[in-house]
Amino acid sequence: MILRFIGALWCPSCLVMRPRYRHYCQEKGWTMEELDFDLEEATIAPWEIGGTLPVAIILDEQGQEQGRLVGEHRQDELQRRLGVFVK
Amino acid sequence: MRFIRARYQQVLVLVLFVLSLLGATGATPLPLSESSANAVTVHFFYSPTCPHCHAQGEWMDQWVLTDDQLTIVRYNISDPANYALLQTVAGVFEESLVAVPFTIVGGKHYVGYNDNVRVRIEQTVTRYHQNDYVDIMAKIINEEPILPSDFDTTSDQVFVLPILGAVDVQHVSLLLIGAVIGLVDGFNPCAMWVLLFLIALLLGAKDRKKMWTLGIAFLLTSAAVYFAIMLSWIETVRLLGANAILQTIIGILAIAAGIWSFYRYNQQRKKDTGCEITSEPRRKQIMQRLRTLVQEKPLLLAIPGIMFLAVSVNLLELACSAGLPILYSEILIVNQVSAGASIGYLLWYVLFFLLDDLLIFTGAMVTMRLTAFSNRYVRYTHLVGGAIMVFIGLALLFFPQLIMFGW
Repeated sequence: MILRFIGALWCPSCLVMRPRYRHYCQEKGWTMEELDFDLEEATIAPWEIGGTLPVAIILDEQGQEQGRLVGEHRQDELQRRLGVFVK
Repeated sequence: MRFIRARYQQVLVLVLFVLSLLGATGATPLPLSESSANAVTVHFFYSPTCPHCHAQGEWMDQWVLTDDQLTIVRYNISDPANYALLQTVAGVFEESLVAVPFTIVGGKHYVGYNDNVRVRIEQTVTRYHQNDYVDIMAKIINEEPILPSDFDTTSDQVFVLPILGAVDVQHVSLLLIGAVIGLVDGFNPCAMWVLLFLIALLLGAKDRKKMWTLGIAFLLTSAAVYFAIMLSWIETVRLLGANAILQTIIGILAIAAGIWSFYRYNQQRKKDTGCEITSEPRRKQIMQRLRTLVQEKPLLLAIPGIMFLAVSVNLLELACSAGLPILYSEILIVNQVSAGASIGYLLWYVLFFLLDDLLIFTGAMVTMRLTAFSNRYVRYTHLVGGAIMVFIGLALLFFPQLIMFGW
């Protein structure tokens, strides 16, 4: 699985969530792609991320979106919500 | 006020230093008057068999040696005439407890003796040295009529607490409420994003000197802007005079702002907790300016640039949190805090306002990693801030005594 993390340098929630996603991906052997909201606008635009950061988009091997998580989530909540994508 | 006392001591030391210099150069220093203080009489009813009376008597023996404008008149209640006088005095002060030690200073009376009583008596005597007062005891002895205005209704503001020693209620209350409001105000995320972005750029610069200098320049300028706005508000209100209409308007606005904060908290509670993407063009403009300053400009040019940016960002973002600093300023006004002391309290407020920023900045500079407080906690500042605003608003409108500490 691929976790595409969209955050910004100025966003406290992104700073809080980034290490949590990294840790999760490392644990599960997922690939984590990090995109900067301000620097990679063109790449991000097609994903229509809405008005809140960070956004984590879960993709399968074919690049098809399987789901997304928006904003901050506690560690246990993250495990539970990402757990549904673990094969 | 501790600030005033500290300031007074500093000024006194400076004056004495200048006077000593004048003396050393042969100039004649101005004679310091022996004492320009009013004479004060303390009336002390005691019993030779009462241990508290003995303790108070011993303290007064020492005290009177240090104050040449102080007279202590002692009344031994073993003498029936003095006991009868004590009963009369207690009746005048409407004191149901006719017990010793019983002390009368001007328009105030104290029953019993402990550290609190001692400090209060000292404080009252000090105040009377500087101000006119009515000696009710003298009036009783001279059989003059006692007027309601003869009683000193000024509250005793000092309590002696274990470890802390003498504590001024007004001073401590203003410091405490300043710390709480400042902290809640500081967690307001409006200007936080600029600091985070600046730190991220500074970490990328890998130049320690530049990192510390530009970061501190930004934080100090932010503090100065806040301080200046709050002080301007206080001075404007002082110029306008104590204005009940203005107080009413601020009270109403505070309640409205508080309700708005509750609404925002409720809205955010329903949504995902995260960073809202708003004001994109302005944010991009500020980010570009920061990039240029940190990455392209030499340090000496970057400093004024960062300072200018901090001023503009804080002024623009002020609407986000103006309620709380203005309300704290209003509390200082309601408590009739002097101009000098107000500066101290405002600096205290700004220190707490900046505390979260200072923690994030220092943490990043030391660990070279950027961390931040979760927006989950920031959300609750709307709730707490709203509650504070509604409370102060209601107090300004209906119960000003609730925010008049130590009166």
